[in-house]
Amino acid sequence: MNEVGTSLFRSRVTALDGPDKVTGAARFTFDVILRGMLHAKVLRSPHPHARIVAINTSRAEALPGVVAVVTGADAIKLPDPYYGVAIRDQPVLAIDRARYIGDMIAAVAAVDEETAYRALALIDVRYDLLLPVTTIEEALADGAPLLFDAPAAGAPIKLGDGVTSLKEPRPNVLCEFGYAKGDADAVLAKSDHIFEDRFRFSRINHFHLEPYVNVARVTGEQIELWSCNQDPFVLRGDISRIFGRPANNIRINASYIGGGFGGKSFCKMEPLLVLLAMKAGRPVRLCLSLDEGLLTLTKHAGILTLKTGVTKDGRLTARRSEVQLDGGAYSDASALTVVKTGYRITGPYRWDAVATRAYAVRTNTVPAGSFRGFGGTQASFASESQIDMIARRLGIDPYDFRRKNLLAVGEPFQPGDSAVDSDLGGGLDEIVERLGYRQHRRSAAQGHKARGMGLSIGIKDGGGTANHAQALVKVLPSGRAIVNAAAVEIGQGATTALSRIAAETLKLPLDCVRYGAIDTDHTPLDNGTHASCGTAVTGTAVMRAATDACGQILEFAAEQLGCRADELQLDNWTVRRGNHAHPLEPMIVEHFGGAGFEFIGRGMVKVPNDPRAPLGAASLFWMPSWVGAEVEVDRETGKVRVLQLVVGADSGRSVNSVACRGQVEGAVLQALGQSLFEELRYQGGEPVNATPLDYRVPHAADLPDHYEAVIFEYGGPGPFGAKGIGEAGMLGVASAIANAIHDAVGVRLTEIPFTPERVLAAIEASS
Amino acid sequence: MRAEAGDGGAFMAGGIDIVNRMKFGEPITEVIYLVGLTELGAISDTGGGLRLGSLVTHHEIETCALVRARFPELAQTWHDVANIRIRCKGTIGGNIMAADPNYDFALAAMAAEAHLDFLGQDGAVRSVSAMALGGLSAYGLLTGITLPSAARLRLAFDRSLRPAITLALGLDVEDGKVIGGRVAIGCAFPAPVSLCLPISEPLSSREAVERAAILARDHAASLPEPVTNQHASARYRRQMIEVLLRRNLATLAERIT
Amino acid sequence: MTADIDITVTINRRTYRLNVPPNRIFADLLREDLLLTGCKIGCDQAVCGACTVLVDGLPVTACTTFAFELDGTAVTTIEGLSEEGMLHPIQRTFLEHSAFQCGFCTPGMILSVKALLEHYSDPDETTIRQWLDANICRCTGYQMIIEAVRAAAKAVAE
Repeated sequence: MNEVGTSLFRSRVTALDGPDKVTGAARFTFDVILRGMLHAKVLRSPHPHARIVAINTSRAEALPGVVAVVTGADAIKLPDPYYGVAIRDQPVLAIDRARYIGDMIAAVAAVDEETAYRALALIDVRYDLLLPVTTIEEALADGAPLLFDAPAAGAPIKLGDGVTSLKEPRPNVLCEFGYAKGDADAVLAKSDHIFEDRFRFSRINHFHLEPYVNVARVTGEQIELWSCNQDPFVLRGDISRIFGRPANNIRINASYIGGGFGGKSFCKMEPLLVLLAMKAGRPVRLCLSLDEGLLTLTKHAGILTLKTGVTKDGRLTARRSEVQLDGGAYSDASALTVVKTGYRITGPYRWDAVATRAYAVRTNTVPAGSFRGFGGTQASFASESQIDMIARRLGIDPYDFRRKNLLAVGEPFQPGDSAVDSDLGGGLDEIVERLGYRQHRRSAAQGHKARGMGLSIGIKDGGGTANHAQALVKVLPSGRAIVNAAAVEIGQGATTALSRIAAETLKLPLDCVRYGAIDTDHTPLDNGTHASCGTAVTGTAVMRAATDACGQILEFAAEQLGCRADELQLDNWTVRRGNHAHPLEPMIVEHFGGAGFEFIGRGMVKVPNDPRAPLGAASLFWMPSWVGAEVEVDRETGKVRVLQLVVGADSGRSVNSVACRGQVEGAVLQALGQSLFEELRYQGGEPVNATPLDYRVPHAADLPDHYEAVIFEYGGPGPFGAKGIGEAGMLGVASAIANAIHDAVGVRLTEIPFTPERVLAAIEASS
Repeated sequence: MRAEAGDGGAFMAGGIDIVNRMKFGEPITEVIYLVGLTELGAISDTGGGLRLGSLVTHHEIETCALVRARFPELAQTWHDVANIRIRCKGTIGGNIMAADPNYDFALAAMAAEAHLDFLGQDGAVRSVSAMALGGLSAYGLLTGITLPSAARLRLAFDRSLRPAITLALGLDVEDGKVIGGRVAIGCAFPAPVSLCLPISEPLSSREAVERAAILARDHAASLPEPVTNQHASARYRRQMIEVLLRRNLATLAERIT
Repeated sequence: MTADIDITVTINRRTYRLNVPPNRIFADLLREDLLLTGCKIGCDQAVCGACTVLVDGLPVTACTTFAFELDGTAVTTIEGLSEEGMLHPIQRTFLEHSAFQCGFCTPGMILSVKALLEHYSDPDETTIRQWLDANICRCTGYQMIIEAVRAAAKAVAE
């Protein structure tokens, strides 16, 4: 185990959800069946941009076995048929326009999937084709067709003082973020060198193996959903608003989620399903295919232009950045992504001045939204590539260049924000050592293959912004506990980590604690399973709840024993007073009788708002990702083989170190895939490979020869010093590989993926 | 049976192709399930070469002792084709009849100049050269593939650049000299394409190695225009055909004694 | 379409005589008729391997297999691995090595590993990677799965 640090939790534990998962007993939303349940299918637009002139569903409705059909005509009757984060422009179902190939136009509920499919073919839609805009450049061109006729509902994200946050500032621009520190132009003008470089980032799909699947049941006043959504309470709020129904009569039930990566956050097709279930008068299940999943959400592609000033001896001075993200047809989480990309573009470095403008452009392509590490991934690729480029241009070793400019522990990321809490230089040194960076000599071209090494430090703020969570911990008379919190298990290990935190606080063995089922009626509110906040934020709420329960337990025992609570200590469901041990269960049974008594501890946490912080709250913790890569490039074919990947991340103090390692390794491989081959490709408005057979994701055979995750423990604000780590592995991989390719063959790739053809073209262009 | 089934009918062996085609909406209403016909699954010795039944699986190509002995490069390459599930269930006959340029067995058959046996609807058996692939389903049911004598044939495969291009190379060898050969290219054209190598006189091993670059260049130049798709451009494919052919020719020729 | 077909298939050591429509997909039969819901359907087109089951010891995607193809075969699903409540060594090593995260690919992955260890008693890293090429995992990055497989190889040999 690669660990540098001292966590409280040294022993290795079996994941609490493990036995279910290795025996096939684990139930996912995919497995939910309700009696009388109908099956739904969605009709999708075959056009990237079109006005919907007429929809005739009569033939579909007449098909035996079809129970209900819904279209935009049903959606428009809803109190508020739009959703999106901050800016709500996505309709429950297309109302007057289709805005991308795959846009949801109509939906059918039938007795089985086959009938539903047949019914789709019987829905007649008349489209008036409109000119699509399918790239950032096309969408921003003068006179470009507009995706929306009128402003969307919602408001720009509220940020800190002096930070720009605009909603729909220009045609086909969804939102804009602007940040400035000092006078960037003045500082640039005085700098010894100014370098301007442009980078292109690609779109990939989350490709979680459990498809998007939901079951909805509407009975009278009550709406109930079984959903694979990562954010049950956010979803409840949206359903309440969209349907004009009180939130206390809407229940969202969560199960294990078969992979999320941010793709299952915020509204997707749940409102559509509720609409259909209302009309059908029976429960309805909608399970998308993975093909449809590819047409539901992607990571933001984008163009990042960085103008960076530096002194002749390699000190960074100022950076002016323009970040253009391709938000696709609808808002989804673009407003958040814009803010985070813009804010993180400065990387882990010290700057005299900064000027950043970041905005999301509307195009007739699949909506882009939250994808593991969002903003940090795009920003790190551009920033860490340019850092290397600048170092090379100045004749400075990229390691030395980074070391010279890194923020130190205790230095604020930006004025008003929290201080960096990881040893950025120390982490880099460890990676450099394990990679063998110092021993490496750039090999002379041996035949047609060349080897090179590259470094990178990605960074993002972690834990969300101004985040909050609530939790309950119930302790039963027998000393068993149930943790009630709504951090949903998506594979990140929330079940085990939160149970471990409760067990440690209550001084109970881990196998006495169970993570309770999640539904919005019974589980306390959580702001969503994302932003790597489960351990640090929800975990804090759980720890406080467990602490509260301890207090109540000791108060009870003190009363029974006729002493003060502060004379007592809790240990393994026994109360100790001096040398005497008093088991709790008999005390409880004696006092209460009957069914006994449960101690219910309550906890909550709220990261304070702070208008002086650029994002409106100081960042809870910092999540760096140190990457060392070694590649071999075939000069004649352009094929890149990754020989070594050494990746470091900071868990603060691991609550479950094995899970931390798994999260880093999983994220790194996703990032590796995107760096070399994975991409949702478009030709104009048409997605070219939106089917699993053609959409290649990493397999076991894609692993580098040597692959190592290093978990640092520099301490964090969460329980027992924890941070979050789930997104870290995404951040630095692409730039490290780009830097290694440059080291090997002297060419710079500023666009991902680094396909053999692209690499070869760059090699040929340079010679 | 096939004639009775009409347009909605299809032969099915491993079913890898059929089930996917149906899921994507192809109106197949009758399936003629071949798996019970064990005689189509045999591998037999023709005295030098091999006859492979059309229902032989990819896994059997990889593991059968006779294939490994006669055509070791074929067996070794087949260890990597697709994945273990597809290799166990998919058949070489189904692979060829799918006529997919990304599939591999047609390339092997072309490089080896194999012969394909078909059972027509009229009951007659026809043997067709693998080099003449095209419009295959018109011939009827593929029953077997005959590979020529291994003593005269050397095979090499290069799948390192798929899905941009895959390549199978077959050299005919007599008295220790290369007297001819074929190159089959996959992934780069709408269908698998094979051409004979422009070898006009017997070449010793050393001569063949030295001439590899020129042979590759001339051969690549004589091919039709490759396709441009999401995986690669025509230009890149044409370049890589030459590079991979040169490399594989040199490596294969060097081993001839 | 022809009439329903009678098939006899042994699943997890129990023999079933079933009457199935010719186009019944085996994954649906397992999940809906036999309530063996450990078989998860991901891509539904034989790419991801989540629905992998073993047919006469060989890994097969249940989502692209017709029920009629199983006539006369012996099938193992994830539910059939443990015997009398005792976990199979592969399940144990997956637990010990945390070789899973979300768990959706896990049943198919474990069955694929079982087939691997029946073909190779001590597979090396390359062999494991190539075999597991048939199973996509989006969560783990595969490394910890491979470690679990190497440990399982030793455990199975004992």
